[in-house]
Amino acid sequence: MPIYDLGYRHWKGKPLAGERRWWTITRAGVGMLVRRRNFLILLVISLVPFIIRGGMLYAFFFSEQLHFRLPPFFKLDESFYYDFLKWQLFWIFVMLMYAGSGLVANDLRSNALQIYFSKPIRRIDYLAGKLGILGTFILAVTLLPGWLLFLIHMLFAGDGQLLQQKAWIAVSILLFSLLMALINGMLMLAFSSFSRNSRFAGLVFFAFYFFSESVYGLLRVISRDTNWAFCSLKNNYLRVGEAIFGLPSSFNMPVWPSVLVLSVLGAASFLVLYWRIRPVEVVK
Amino acid sequence: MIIELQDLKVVYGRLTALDGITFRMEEGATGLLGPNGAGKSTLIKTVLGFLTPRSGTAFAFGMPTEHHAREIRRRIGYMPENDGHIPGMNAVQFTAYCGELCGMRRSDALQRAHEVLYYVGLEEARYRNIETYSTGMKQRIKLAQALVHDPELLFLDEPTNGLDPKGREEMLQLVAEISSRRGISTLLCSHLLSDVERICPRVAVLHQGRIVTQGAIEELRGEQGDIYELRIKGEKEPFREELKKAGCRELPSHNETMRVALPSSWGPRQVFQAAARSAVQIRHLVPVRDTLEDIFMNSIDGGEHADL
Repeated sequence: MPIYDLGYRHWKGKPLAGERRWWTITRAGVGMLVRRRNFLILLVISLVPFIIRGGMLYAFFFSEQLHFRLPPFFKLDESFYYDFLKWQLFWIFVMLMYAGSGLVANDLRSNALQIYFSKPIRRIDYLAGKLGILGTFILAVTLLPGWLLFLIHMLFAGDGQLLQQKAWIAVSILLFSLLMALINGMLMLAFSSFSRNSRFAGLVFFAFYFFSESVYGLLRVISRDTNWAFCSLKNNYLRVGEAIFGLPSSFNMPVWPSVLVLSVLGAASFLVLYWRIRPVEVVK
Repeated sequence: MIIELQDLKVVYGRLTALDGITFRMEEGATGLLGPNGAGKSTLIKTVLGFLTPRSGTAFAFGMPTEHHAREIRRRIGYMPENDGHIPGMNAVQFTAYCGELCGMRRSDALQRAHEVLYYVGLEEARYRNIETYSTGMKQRIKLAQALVHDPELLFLDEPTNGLDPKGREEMLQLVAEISSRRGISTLLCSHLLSDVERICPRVAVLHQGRIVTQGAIEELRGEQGDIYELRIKGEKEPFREELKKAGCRELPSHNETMRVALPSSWGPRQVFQAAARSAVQIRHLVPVRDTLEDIFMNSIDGGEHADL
């Protein structure tokens, strides 16, 4: 029987190329979050609107069998999907508070950055990996159920021509979901990088969101006009979402201010992250 | 040659952190010494590819550090001085994750994590959350994450910090074994000179951004010449002058005892003769072996105190 040396042994394997290191970070982060029961419960609850809308689709197509009539204002067009994503913004917000506030703050608190950057990863790998974690969950409650609803819609309709005519809706769902994932994710990471305390980071993000809503609410009351909607983070998403879905605007404002505000927020978040996360501090 | 720095200058704004240093690290263990602010961290950052030299060249494994930073970091294991971990992970998850970040396949990283944790003595605690670890265990997990991808060079920053005597002894044994028997070169930064002396056959001493001494410790001891510790009764200054004229060097000493390096032509007899000429009595004269602390103190204080 051979006797093995249980001391140090050299590794004989060949290292993988470095392009997918961000994916390692994303996968580990997603894995750690889904192991938390509270987060899983939150994820399931956030999919309740999807189940309700799935039921509405079923009721729309099989109302005769169900002896059930949907209200006359119900329309099965692009606004059906836009409304679904619009209401998912709330769950995105809750999910960001729960999962996103600690993503960088906890790494700062536990000196994890020196572990990350002593390995062959770049700052952009780290940021993409962390953004990937938030992006995964945001897309899981927007893009995935949105596309599933669209698929169910097409299956129930059973009309190939309808699929060709309405395929752009699937693209709109993708674009709106990606926009919310990217900007919200960057914003949350930037707030998370400001502090070593994840609760504080979450609180600041909440305050920012609430403050922008309050400013808009105040200006709307004073001016009796919705042209100040670009002051509100949420309304900027909604305004761009309306444009993506080709819907008439519910705000008295063109789309470009919202695009500008979201672009500036995204760029500012990226700069903050680049400034706060410095690999050179790996050795203190 | 593992690391080769040639006339390297690194600046932060107006501050020159490394001022034209030339340093060659061969295979095996090398101690990097220097007081706080000497430039040790800057040197490590430069080798890891985080800083771009203002002038001169920095090579690791034959590659310029500024252009091949990731490849170099893949071949280096770094054990930081400060505690660091990924929140929410146990030791196996953490070590395997570090392996994956270095490019190992998931299955390889997991297998390797178990092996390395066994090697550093954490096999019983490997499924415990790292946040619950004691100081000694945290030092070991830092060593494990530095070793998981089987590096060719280990940077160890104060590896025995905060350890009790038994833990320190075990850590030193591990580091000594890694550097001497496992073929992993080691650059050890420590303020505990006895640790460095025990592990490293070679040292480099940094002071104010310059390398003031480097080489094999045995050779550096030889450079000091024969060293004697002596106590005298009478006026010290004439005696000092007498020794200085003969080419003796006084080494830094912590008490009333003088430490003197004699030239090769001198021995105890000549010291007694010098004492007689300067009218002092020698009460104590013993040959001493130069320690790393002497080499270090002499290097950094050399310009100010060493010469008589």
